[in-house]
Amino acid sequence: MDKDNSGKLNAESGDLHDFDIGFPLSTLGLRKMPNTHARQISRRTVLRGTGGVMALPLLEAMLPQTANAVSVAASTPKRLGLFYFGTGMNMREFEPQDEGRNYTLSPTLRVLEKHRDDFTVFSGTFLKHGGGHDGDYTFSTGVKAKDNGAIRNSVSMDQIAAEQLGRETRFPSLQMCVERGTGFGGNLRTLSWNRNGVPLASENDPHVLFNRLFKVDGPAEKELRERGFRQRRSILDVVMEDAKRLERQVGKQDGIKLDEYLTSVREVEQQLERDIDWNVKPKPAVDTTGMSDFSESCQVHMPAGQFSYDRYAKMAYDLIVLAYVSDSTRVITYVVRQESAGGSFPEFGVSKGFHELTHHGNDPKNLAELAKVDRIYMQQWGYFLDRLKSMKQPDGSTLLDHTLLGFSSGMGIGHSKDRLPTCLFGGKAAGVQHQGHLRLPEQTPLSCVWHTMLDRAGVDAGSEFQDSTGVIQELLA
Amino acid sequence: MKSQSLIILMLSVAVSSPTSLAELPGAVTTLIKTHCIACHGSKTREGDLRLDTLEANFSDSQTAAKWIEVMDNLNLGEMPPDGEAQPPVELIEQTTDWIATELRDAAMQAKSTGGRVLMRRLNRSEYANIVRDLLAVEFLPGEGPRDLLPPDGTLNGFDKVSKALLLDPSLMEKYFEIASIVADKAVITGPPPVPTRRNRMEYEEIDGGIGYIKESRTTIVTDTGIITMSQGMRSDDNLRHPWNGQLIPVRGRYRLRVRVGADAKDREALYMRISRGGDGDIYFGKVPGTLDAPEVIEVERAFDVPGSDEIGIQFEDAPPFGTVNYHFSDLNRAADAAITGGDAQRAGRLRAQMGAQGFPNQGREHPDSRTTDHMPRILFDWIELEGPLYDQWPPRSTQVVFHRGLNQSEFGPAYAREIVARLLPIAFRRPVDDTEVDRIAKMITSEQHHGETFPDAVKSGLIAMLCSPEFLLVNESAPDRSLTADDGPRQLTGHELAFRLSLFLWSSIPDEQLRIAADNGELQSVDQLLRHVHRMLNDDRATALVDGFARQWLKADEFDRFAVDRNLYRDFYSTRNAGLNEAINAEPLEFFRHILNTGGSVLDFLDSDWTMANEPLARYYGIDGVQGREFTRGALPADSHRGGLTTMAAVHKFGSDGNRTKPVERGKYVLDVLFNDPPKPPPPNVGEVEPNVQGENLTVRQRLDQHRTIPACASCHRTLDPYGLALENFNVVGQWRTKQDGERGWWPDEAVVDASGTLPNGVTFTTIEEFRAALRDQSDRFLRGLSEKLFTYALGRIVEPSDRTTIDGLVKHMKANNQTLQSLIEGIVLSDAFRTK
Repeated sequence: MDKDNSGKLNAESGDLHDFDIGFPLSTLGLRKMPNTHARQISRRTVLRGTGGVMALPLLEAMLPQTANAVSVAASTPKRLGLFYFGTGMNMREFEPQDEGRNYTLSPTLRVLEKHRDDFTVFSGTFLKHGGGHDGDYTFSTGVKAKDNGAIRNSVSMDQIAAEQLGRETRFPSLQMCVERGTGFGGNLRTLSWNRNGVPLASENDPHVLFNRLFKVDGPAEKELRERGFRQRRSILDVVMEDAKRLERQVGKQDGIKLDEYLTSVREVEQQLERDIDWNVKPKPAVDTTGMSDFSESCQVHMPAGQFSYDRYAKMAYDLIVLAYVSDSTRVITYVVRQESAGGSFPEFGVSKGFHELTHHGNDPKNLAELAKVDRIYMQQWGYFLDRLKSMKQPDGSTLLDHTLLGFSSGMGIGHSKDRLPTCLFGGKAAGVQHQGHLRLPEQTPLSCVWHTMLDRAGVDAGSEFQDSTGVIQELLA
Repeated sequence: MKSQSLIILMLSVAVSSPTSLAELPGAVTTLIKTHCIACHGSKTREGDLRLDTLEANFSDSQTAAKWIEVMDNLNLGEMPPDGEAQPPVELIEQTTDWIATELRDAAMQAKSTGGRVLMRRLNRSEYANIVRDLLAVEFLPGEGPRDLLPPDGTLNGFDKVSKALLLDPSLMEKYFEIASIVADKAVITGPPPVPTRRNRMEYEEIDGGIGYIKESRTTIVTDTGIITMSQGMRSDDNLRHPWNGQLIPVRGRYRLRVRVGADAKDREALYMRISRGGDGDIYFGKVPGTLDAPEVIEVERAFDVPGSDEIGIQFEDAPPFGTVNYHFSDLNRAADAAITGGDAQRAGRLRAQMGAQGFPNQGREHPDSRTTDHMPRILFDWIELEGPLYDQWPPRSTQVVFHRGLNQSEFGPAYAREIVARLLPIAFRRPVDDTEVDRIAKMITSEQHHGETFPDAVKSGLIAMLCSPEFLLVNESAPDRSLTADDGPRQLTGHELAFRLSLFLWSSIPDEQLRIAADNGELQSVDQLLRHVHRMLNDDRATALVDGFARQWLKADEFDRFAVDRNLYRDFYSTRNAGLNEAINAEPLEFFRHILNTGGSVLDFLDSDWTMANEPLARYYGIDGVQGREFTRGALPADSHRGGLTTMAAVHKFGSDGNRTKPVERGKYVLDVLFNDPPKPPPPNVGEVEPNVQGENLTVRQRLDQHRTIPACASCHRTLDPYGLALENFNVVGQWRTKQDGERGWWPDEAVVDASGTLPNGVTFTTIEEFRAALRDQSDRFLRGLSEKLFTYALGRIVEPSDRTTIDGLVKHMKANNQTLQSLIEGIVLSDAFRTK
């Protein structure tokens, strides 16, 4: 940052204790987050006050002053979630036979019977550059990102959404996966790619995420945090000086890497300002009664015997519900099952790993076990839907009605590019009219489903969105 | 990459501009004109595909996608459709080969850096090693930067390439977080929280809650310990640390020692498992020693506080010995309930208790145990737990940072400046100027003014150092240089070269000797440079070449990508094979390490009369005289059929799906790893070899033959499959077989393995021995492939057409020097590519 402007903020000036919202951020050269809290009652205040919050707080006073009281549903923020079940599914058990709203649920989907009016299952979706084990790379971006070892991806659908839906939340988006990191080069651990085609790393421990989102600091912790903010700012000042200096030395090609560094540091700075901004407000208090216990770490690399996938799955889904309901973020991606790796756990009672099962060789035992695993995942998905529907709005709508959840895989069955296990859930209050089992024309790009989700969430997807041929008209209410 | 494609690439670079049909190779034009245009021409455009105007512009993704469609349809035999005149197979092959080559070249261009080494960030192994070497800071397993940083991306198989080592905001955030963890760990000013203590428990003295062990029919109490014939062993309060009465008072490193002896009777050996409830296995393997001369098992590792306060030892595969026991059923039920209730920790504790009590071996009294003289037994003498262990206090890292000690009177701006001035040149791998030192030193002082203690303020300085782009990025644009990186190749400065060298050989920063050599400009001398190469290869840090290069080259992290089927290969999971899977996975890496350390010939990867083994692996391979868990070199028996990488069980496991062998995968592995010449990808949706239909008993090979009925597919598989089918005598778990196994329990006698074949160069073989000889005959191809791989690793960029002469030179240099890895490393370090930017 510029030394002349930052003099007042420099650590040397000794005047850094003011973390008020009114802090002159512009002098830092930073993009200030739009201050949405000024003339409205902060929802967090309300969340805090009510203690056990199980309904979406939506008092009229909280609406933007320009908003109309009638448009409660319309002004409720829309949430969006993208989910990946790697290595396909046993589509012989997944695809329903008949079509329309009164279709017969397939054996795999039968566990979602009570939610049948809240989702559409699609036939005919297609990933042009998917199939095999590279489908994860094209899943959320639609481009041929992986080509003979070269990887060049473009922005993912969730990040387009985060740019528009994430402005007012503490976190623009969250990335989750059973494994940490990005997995770049191998089986991906994230679905999110920024505008530079850089993958955004996922967190795999719901406990860690819970603390990040909700853990309320005590006074001592808070002071420590504030000291931390000051320290972080001083350090950022120093490294930015180093980077500026380096920028003058490096050539054009090397400049690309330095740009990545600069962009990243600036983003860290912005997140820091956002944290400082949010630090003066309490974190949302959430009631976890009847939910998972988030007090302990839970992730797949725990010693044998300590990990239960069922517990993990519920923790992860509970966390997503809490993140949505507290409006900590509106955009979440989750690699529920990684491509190729992992996927089945001892408690499932199947004889092989998931990837091994997908090489079923038409062996009936493999196929049956594959479907069994799929059903277990769908059962947990059903739990997730239950939770979302238990969050009621004053007008009788539920959190699910304001949330658009899409899931699919990078392959269908037998490592194919078509026959993807694609479903769209929720969004009834966002103008989605579910169609039961909807058979799309063969080889309809998967991005058409994403396009529809963005459209319904009020996100402008631009004049051309991925390889989409348009939103799916049948779903529009 | 094979030489052929290099030439084609060079040609294609010249003609990469869009072309019309007239400019395509003759065969392609002929095929399209004769067989395609009638339907895919200007008039009809069936399937929205028009081939008369399709350009050879493969860098355009839309155009490339259309060519892929052409290739796939030709390969699958779907075009031209049935009923139309079919083109000759050679014409199809020439066309699909041309398309595949063009696609590969376009992908290459996308990855190309024009032969320049680009700025990149450190990968996580480098980060961890550098922090270790810079600050002498040590982490418990699972807590260091290598564990905390997310895994790195790879390109062409290595995590060293700029285009794969991306930097995103979440990683930057991680860098800040980890730098602060490193600083906290490095700077320690207080006394140790928990004193080190050694607690011993004599088994014969146990009483209290676990005194029942002595009363059991299955144990004999002696003067020195307890002998058991079925029962396991538990620990009592004597093993707990008096500091807070817990087994593990604080997270840290501990040393566990157990003195035991075995009398195996009619068994080959006895096995035991040492575990702490809720904390997994501490040891699983053979019981050493005898009843008269017990031996000590010693395990040093990290323990965390949560978990049981007991160390349990289970007698594996103990003889059935006992009476009806309802207690067992109760425990089992409780453990199951705990799992269902989500309390895995309690379940773990209960299971550990069951194990330690010898369950589930107890049942009704077994007829065999009415007399006990013939029964195998274990003597438990004592158990000892020492910890938490500290190398020294305060840790060495604190002394490294505060070189003049932690004397209050010293704390101030002058000391801060000195600390920074000492550490910064090492961290930034180059001389630094006053501005850079002052920037951090002043920040430290300013932190002090904000009320931080001096040590805490210094921590902030360390964090700034570790988050600077000068630390995180490999910056080869020294400020004292007038040229910018875009002006064309230039010699590296001494410090840049020193860092390239230490990154290559150690995945870390230069040590003091190398720094001094760089300061004095000595590295411009070839002799001096080589002297340092040899010195560095003899240093322990050169293990980074095994963990970094060999691990990725040999795809060692993927050996377990498919789990071996438990029902089909029960023996593989049996107690006597304890530690076998780990040993199998380690063998190729140890083989590499041995060749590196002893200056052996890399051609031994093609064929050898020796391998590296420890006791479990030696047993498995039938090598005599190897004891213990350490790997040593062992001579392969003449009848073992083994020798070289392709006969190692890890490769067989890699090229199997846990159920049956996958010859095509094995062939791919051989071509990629040994020759750096991976085959082109298959057309989509070709599927897998199908299982036998009811009543048929075809081998994998026979079914693969059926599978390749399309001539165009067969042409590609002809070059690929022989390298995999040659290994058909090795089953899923790398055991020698002459009859088909896997997939199911039983195979008829006529399902004999046929491992013969003809290599693309015309050499035929019928046995593995002949195949190994045929590999040895392709040693030039192997040396080239290996050179290309190590070159990629050393420079962090892909091999480009312009590197052709360099690679030629490397191969020549190796051949003149007994094909050692040293000679290859020397060759790379002395190459212009390595010494210029």
